[in-house]
Amino acid sequence: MRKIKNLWVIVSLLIVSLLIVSLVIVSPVIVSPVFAQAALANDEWPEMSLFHMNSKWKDHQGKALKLHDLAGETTLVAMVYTSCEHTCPMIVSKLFAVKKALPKKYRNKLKLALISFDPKGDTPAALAAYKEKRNLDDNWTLMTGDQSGIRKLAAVLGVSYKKESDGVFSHSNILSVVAKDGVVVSQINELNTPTTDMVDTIVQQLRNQH
Amino acid sequence: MRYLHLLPILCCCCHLGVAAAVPEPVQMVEIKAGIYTPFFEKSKDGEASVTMVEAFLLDVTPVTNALYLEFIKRNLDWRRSRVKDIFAENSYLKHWQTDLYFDQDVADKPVRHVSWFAALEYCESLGKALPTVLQWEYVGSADENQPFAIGTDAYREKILHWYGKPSADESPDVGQGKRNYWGVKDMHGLQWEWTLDFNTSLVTGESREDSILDKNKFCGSGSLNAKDKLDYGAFMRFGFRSALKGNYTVGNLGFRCARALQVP
Repeated sequence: MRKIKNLWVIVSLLIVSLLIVSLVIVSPVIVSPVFAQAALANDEWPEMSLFHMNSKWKDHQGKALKLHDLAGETTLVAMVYTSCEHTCPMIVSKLFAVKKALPKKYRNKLKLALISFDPKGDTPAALAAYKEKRNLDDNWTLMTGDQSGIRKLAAVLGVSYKKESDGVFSHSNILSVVAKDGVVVSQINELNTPTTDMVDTIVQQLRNQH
Repeated sequence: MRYLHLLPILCCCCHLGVAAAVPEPVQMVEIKAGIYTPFFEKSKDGEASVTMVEAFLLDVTPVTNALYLEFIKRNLDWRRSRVKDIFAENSYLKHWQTDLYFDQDVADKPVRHVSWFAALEYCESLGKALPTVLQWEYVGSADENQPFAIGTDAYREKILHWYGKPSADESPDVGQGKRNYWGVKDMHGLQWEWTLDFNTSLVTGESREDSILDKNKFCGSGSLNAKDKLDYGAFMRFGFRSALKGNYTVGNLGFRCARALQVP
């Protein structure tokens, strides 16, 4: 009897230790539903939406913004900086050209955003002055953020940029259309590219908006 | 004595427990400060432009699958089934069987099919960062004996040999090769590596010749003059970087982390 009792003690010890070890290995999977709950909040936007990015920005009025504040609108976006003396003015002109190419009833429905590479130089006040100087109406938002947010947004848009030793930024001339759910639906990578396809996409987006 | 026969069973149980143990963290070495001529220097009146690289710490080897798994267990949003496409595209960790399981053979191989966002998050979770292009290239310029081997035939041959090989599915385990001058391993020969500012690479097909920036594609006054036109490896790396987006995952692209020196 004693021998059998000892055997049961050994077997139970073995079973308990195996249970503990498998719990250790499997625990992340058990715990995961808890994390799944927290993640659901962000699931309102599609997987490729820019609005999943939590970076902090300020607009030309100094108001705090996140990218999801663009939700609900179709926005034409470019990354520039206001002290730029090279092709940035041409980028802004191209944004104007896209807007002008829209059918008249859609022109004021399109939002436009200029996002700066230069957090040091482009304070909200500098952005406000630039907005004034270039006569940009209230459909335009100018934004400034921190290095990390800028790097991440550029990484998503495929924009290359580099601060040169003389303080000038070299950067891609990329225009992007951000849909109301934050997904980038159209891009132009070069200044010479015709705007027809982008204009068509914007019209489609604006039609689906209201 | 009576319970001595329990000892082997207890040892077995301990062994099983240890099997779920945490892998060794990556060692870091100090990279001393120095003057460095970046590969694509901006030419000012024909003068080569140099820059000062501050001292920093760099991982001796790339991050392995085992180490990356530990990160995911602590950060479940980065599991393959949970992560959003904008942070890591569909091929993220495709070489793993499930969210949290891979073949034990690849445990000590460099993790690959990871995006820039994922690599960045990993490094930051350890109080580190991805190395900058400057830092990576500075360390990558070394061979076993000298810090700046670019331009030597031996260095060029070695790099060309590796770049010429078809990419095997799995590389060797990390750390098998020799340490370079800085004490770092596997900068060349295993895989490409993410850098913090990979998108500072403004390279186009014309960049092998001295060229001013294509005004159609880029805004800026720079010109791109490659330091050593025969450094094919560097052209490949810079070209590759300029083609990447933050959520891309590639089969031969992994990463290692860097850290600033503690201010005493």
